[in-house]
Amino acid sequence: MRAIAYKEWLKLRSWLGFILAAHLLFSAWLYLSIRHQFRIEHAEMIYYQANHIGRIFYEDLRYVPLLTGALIGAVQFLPELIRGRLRLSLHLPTGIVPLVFAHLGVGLAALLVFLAFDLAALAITIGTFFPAAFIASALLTAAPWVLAGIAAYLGAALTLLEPDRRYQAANLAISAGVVWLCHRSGQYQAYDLVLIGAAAFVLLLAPASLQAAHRFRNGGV
Amino acid sequence: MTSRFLSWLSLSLLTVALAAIVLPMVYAIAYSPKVAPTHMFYSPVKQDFVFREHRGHHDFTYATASGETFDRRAFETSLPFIYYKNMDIWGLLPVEIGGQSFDLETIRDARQVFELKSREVEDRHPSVPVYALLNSDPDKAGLSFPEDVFRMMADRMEFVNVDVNRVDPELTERFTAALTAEGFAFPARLVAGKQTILKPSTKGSSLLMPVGRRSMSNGWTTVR
Repeated sequence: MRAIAYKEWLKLRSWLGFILAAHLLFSAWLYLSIRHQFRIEHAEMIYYQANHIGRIFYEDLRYVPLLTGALIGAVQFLPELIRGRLRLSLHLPTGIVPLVFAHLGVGLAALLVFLAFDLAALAITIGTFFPAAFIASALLTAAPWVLAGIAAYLGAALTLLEPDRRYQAANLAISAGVVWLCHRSGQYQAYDLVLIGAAAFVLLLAPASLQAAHRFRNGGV
Repeated sequence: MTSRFLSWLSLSLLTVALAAIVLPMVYAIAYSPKVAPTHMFYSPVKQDFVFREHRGHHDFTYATASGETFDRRAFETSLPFIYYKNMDIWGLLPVEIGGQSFDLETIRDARQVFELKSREVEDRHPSVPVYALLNSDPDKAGLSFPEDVFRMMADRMEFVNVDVNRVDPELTERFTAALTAEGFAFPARLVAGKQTILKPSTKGSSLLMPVGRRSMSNGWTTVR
């Protein structure tokens, strides 16, 4: 398993460096954009807009986890599949379940680091300009976006591992459906009562990949 | 084999659950008749809530909350302050309610209709528990948002200056003392008040304590 983690690290590290740089730039942008609002507008009006009109000042963050998850999934699994390398790994005597989960674990760990970074940047930015209650509100609002990022990663694995085009289309539709569920509302804290349900949908995507991996190992192209 | 079953099970659950969400939406878009929102009113005549529900194709149901149904005319006469023009045409004005008589002019001059949307009911919508304490300044028309917002803590009414995002200890102390002196029991159960300056004047915010209520206005620290 350590060898697989090392192999994945070697494959992903340049991409992870690129993604890290992008997230650093984004968090700087997020901070500056909110600071800019406070410079051009009276703070009390911004509070009113944030709380009562429901303007989400960190709206730019919405699709960042989604893009990050999809990108990590693509760069982790596309090269394996294009060159058929994964089929070799899947025949290792470790068994297909630990092997698939080891691959997913590496990708998920990297993704979670970025998502945690995004949430920390959001909390610090909001906490700089607003009282603590707004930080809690922002994190709750961003929670489904984060879930969408995890769904995008697991969905990319589920779709790319599947060798049969018909199943692949179905898997893509299911993954897109879960991502869509996490982006249903533009209101802040709209998911407060359904976060656990949304998380359950996302978690179900993880074991779903196993069947695709089985088919891939057994000769699908 | 177990892993394939687990995988099949999770994919099946996802498919069924997503279909259960998406298919009714598609059906509703494709086939739902045109419906108007249901309106519920408090009838001063019946001393009960009455509502009008649109079932599509101009089919309306008029009923009370307790289940009594009636026709449109009876519905409108149960709401004389809203349908006062029809009441006048039907010769039903002046109407007597609670021992008081209301004629056309009185209703037209004094009636007020408030609408409360379901999402505006407390606990039915998310809100950040930080409030502006609005104040009618006797020296100028209109309202403006103050630079200090407040939040209700376990033992105090805490003010934060929005320009610097820091607690204002002096204001916090002054307002907490004023509330405590009037017998306000912390923590507050509810803070109510229309957080907008798009109104001509304000009477401040209502603070609900576990039992009872106090209202406050900024500036004078008046507790009512």
